[in-house]
Amino acid sequence: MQIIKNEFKNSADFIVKEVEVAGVKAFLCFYSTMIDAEMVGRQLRLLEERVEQGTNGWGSSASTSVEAFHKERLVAAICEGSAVLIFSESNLMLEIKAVKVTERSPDEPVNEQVVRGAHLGFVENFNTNVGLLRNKLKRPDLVVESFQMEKTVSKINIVYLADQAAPEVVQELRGRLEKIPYKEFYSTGQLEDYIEDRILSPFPQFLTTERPDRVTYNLLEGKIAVFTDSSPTVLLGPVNLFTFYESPDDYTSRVLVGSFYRMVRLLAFFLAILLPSFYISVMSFHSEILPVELTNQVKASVKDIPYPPVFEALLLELFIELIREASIRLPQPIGQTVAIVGGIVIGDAIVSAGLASNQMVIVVAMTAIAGFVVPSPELNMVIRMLRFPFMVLAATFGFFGMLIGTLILFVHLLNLSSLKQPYLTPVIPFDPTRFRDVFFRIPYYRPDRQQPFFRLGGKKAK
Amino acid sequence: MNKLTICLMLCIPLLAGCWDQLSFRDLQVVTLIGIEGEKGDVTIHFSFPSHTDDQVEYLTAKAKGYSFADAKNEINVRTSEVIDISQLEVLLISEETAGDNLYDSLDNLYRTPRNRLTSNVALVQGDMEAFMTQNNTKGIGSNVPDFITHLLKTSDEYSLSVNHDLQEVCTLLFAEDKDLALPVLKIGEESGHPELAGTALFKGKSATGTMLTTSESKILAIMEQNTGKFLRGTYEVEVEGEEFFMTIEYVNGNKNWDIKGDQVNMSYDIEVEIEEFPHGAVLEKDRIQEIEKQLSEHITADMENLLEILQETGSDAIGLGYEVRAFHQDLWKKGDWNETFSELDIKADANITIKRTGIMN
Amino acid sequence: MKLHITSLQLFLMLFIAMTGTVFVSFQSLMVNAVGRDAWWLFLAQGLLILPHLWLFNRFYQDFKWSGPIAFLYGVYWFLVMASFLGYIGYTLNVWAYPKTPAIVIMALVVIVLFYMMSSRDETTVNIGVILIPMILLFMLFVYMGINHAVWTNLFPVGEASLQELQRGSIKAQLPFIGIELFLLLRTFVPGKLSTWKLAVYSGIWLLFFLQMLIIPMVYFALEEFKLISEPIMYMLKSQDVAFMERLDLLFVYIWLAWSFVAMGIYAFSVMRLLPEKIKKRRTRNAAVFCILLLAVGSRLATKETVRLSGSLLLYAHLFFAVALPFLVIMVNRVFGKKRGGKPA
Repeated sequence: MQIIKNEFKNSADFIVKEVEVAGVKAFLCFYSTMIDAEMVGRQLRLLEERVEQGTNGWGSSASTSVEAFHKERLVAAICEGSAVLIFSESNLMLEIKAVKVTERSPDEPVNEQVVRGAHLGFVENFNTNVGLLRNKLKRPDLVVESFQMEKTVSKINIVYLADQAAPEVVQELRGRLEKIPYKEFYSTGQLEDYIEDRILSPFPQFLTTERPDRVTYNLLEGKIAVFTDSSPTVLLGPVNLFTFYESPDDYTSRVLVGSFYRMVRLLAFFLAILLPSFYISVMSFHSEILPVELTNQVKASVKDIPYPPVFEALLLELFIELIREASIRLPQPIGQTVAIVGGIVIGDAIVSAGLASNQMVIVVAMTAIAGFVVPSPELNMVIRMLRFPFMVLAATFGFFGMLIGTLILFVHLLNLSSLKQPYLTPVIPFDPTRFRDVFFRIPYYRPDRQQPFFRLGGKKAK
Repeated sequence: MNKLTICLMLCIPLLAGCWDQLSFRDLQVVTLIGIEGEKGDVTIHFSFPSHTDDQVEYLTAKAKGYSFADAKNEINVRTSEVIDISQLEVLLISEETAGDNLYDSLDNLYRTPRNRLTSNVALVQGDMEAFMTQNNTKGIGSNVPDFITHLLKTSDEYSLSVNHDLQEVCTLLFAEDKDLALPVLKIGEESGHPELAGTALFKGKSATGTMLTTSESKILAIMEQNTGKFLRGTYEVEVEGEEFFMTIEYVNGNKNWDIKGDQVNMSYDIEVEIEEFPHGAVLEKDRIQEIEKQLSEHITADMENLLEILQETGSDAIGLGYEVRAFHQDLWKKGDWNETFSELDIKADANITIKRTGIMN
Repeated sequence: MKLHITSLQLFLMLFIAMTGTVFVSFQSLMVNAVGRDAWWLFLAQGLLILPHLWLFNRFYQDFKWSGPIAFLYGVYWFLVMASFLGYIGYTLNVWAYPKTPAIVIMALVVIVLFYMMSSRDETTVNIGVILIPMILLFMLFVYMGINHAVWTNLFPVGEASLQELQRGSIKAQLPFIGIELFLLLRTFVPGKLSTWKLAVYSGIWLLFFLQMLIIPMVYFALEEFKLISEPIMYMLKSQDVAFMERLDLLFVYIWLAWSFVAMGIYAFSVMRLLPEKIKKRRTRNAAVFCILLLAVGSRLATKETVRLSGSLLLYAHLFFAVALPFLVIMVNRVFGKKRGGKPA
């Protein structure tokens, strides 16, 4: 008994009790903080009944199992939240799965809200999550594979549709997961580092979401979902850049509306990265491209600004980032107030104080809004970050600098891959059947024309 | 190695603006330029907006130099900010200066990449200074360049004169087969602000000094098949023994140039709409024919008159040379086209059809 | 790893490499040489591209990229790139950055090139795709010049003397530079390449250059070509659009991106020619190549050298794209037969 206690460092919530089950002496050990005591009691009673009736295999049921005593297995089972009954005489142990789960209801995730469609969200329990998925995808080829990290109890699960996902991609991911060294995971972000193709790229190579419906249609497209045990966040891969621009809203709204907003979002991508640097280039290098009708107004507002446009832009951008960060940290009602006060009041004050020009405020505000249009928060952050190097380049070499930046960005995007799949598909390499899907939300009236994400066994574009 | 790269990267922002930065803040945007004088002694006038608080005021400056560029550089002595002519709206050239080789004054504008090639060009009569500032602000406000731009645009729209931007001027200056024509401005005697005076004809690269009136310019536009949005003219017609003034609007036209040896027949089929005809209904078969005949005669006479002026000046503003050069090499190779043009035997013939009569019969 | 590209990718690469840098300036050279006859002369010459490509396609397997030949082409392409680089440096200096030292501009160009070269092969193969929308935009704005077109500028024809025509024909070779890349790129395309694909490509190529020649011809007076060295840019500069002035400034950069990619494709080809042993060390190769390129290119960034290298390039082109390939193919075929083996 003491041996077992020592194994758990005499933790106060670790309890070992001597009990008698159907006349046999046994030790019952569990973490009192993790198990559902009532459930354990019920199981024990059932067990006694079954032993008395002399049922064969008295020890196995849906929530119990009998094994030969094995110390490491014991430790793992207890850590997972089971109560273990040790029969020291017969050298058996009986595991009763009775985890007390504190679980919230599957509410809609706050940062991924949609107007129409399902309003469910994942919770912190893997079983519930897969349950949510299976409710939506009632098909037998929905496969769950578990990866037990060595020595730790955290589990990584991948879920995919065996008929849709490309086997080589599944194999690639499996290989990467198996290579992960000993480590405790607290977040999917940590995990992401291990399975990404390029860690140092600013672009996310997995889509994260907490929405079952989003996971569902991505699984149907042939992607693979990676769940960790204790996080509602799911990683989806392989992705391409355009995946981040699709919102579940697209598919619940009407065809034309959905297509229009999808294109608006793609436009926002360029706007968010290039607009401030474009303004800087114009102001400090190429003022001659301003239309004649505009010059007077622009000149009037720019005339008394003491700083070069880059500093003006950096100041305002920094300011916007501050507001954003602050309004996230603050409780929601106050957050909105901060945003309003910051945005309107200070913005106006900055202009009247002569620190920045009206145009710059417009440019920065528009850029910020264009950045927030992206449905995926990770990409949103990347875009906000990317505009700083562009601003520096624009301030150094004007349009030429921007061109250099854009080319480097494109070469980088072309180099990038997600689970060995090119990042810019279907545009590059060009895949005409899926190409339309990037810009338009294709109607569903002919379901046979839908294309899976990867064509199985088809020729691979290089 | 990596550290070095990072250091270098950090240095780049410090380089910012080392070379070609030209901050818009520090530029003085010039929207109106006037050139006068002759080769070796050029005077340029600049007019530029100056912002004080919420007011825009137009200031002027002038400088002398050997050439346009020389004088332009000279001006920086006098202004607080760098003069930038990349936003030039209107370029005014005095008639005398244009009498020399016009390209002399313009070369700098074409050669420097920053310059705008879509600015309007016009010749002016009289004192250049008067065009630069406007003391009588009641009529047109203080934004003279804007006023002149719109004046030129409107006159082009109503086919009162031609309107060419800088690039077209250059093309026409160099084209051997068509001659340039530019609007001429004057200071109106009554209004005291710039007004359209007429259209100056060029021969080769220099102005001839001959000026077409606005009604002659309209005929030129018809003959050139390059009318503005509206082209209206008033003619006197005789109906049932009574004289009426009839205003017609040009709707559509076709030219047919027949070149045989040095005989040129230009016939035009022109469709018009009636704008004003106080007599009343026009829509009677005989009357229409009668009116059409009279109008045709009037316009034919106008065309002949215009051709006479053009031939006298030796300026092919209608672009007959295009056709001759392309399809009648024998005629083209006779010698200098301007000379040949003057010697040609050109006949014009207009045939007017009344297409519409407005909402009244 | 053996590289495979599709025929579409082959043509995209070839198109960009062939149009890349020259399409803004070849008009002036041609018009100055033969006047109004330029357009039909170019049309006539341009039609030859189809048989040319057809022959290449038919016999490319006989063209062995053996040591000395590969070396010669490597050097030639390197020089093509260097002269492009010099031209880019000079043009940017003139159009947009008069004060920035040309070497800095070229260094930046080379940095991008280096990044492109040290990336995966697929990157160079595919990057042309981002140009397609830009090319369309370019065409659209060039077409705006039609408003002021004078069609009779195309006539009369047949005025040029035989000597002038000869000179013009040589100038007309400028858009053909790079056609020999087909020989190399073709080896990466598995299987047969049908003739109609070649015909479609030739058609697109011819159409592109023809309109790039004809539109400036009807827009500018003949005399102006003597003054203007980049007619397309000059045309864009004189377009009046509501939303901005100086379209050319924007399009200089599109042209520049275009040239970047074209140079990337040349660089990719040169890298492919390297002997297997040193091919592996991608980054080092790219770095050495780029430094050399910068060194040579920066010598070429003056008006005189740009002109000189341009005309030398024309003769080199005739040698490398016409004479040498056919010589090598002939020799290989003859020897191949003598040894009794089938032509590979």
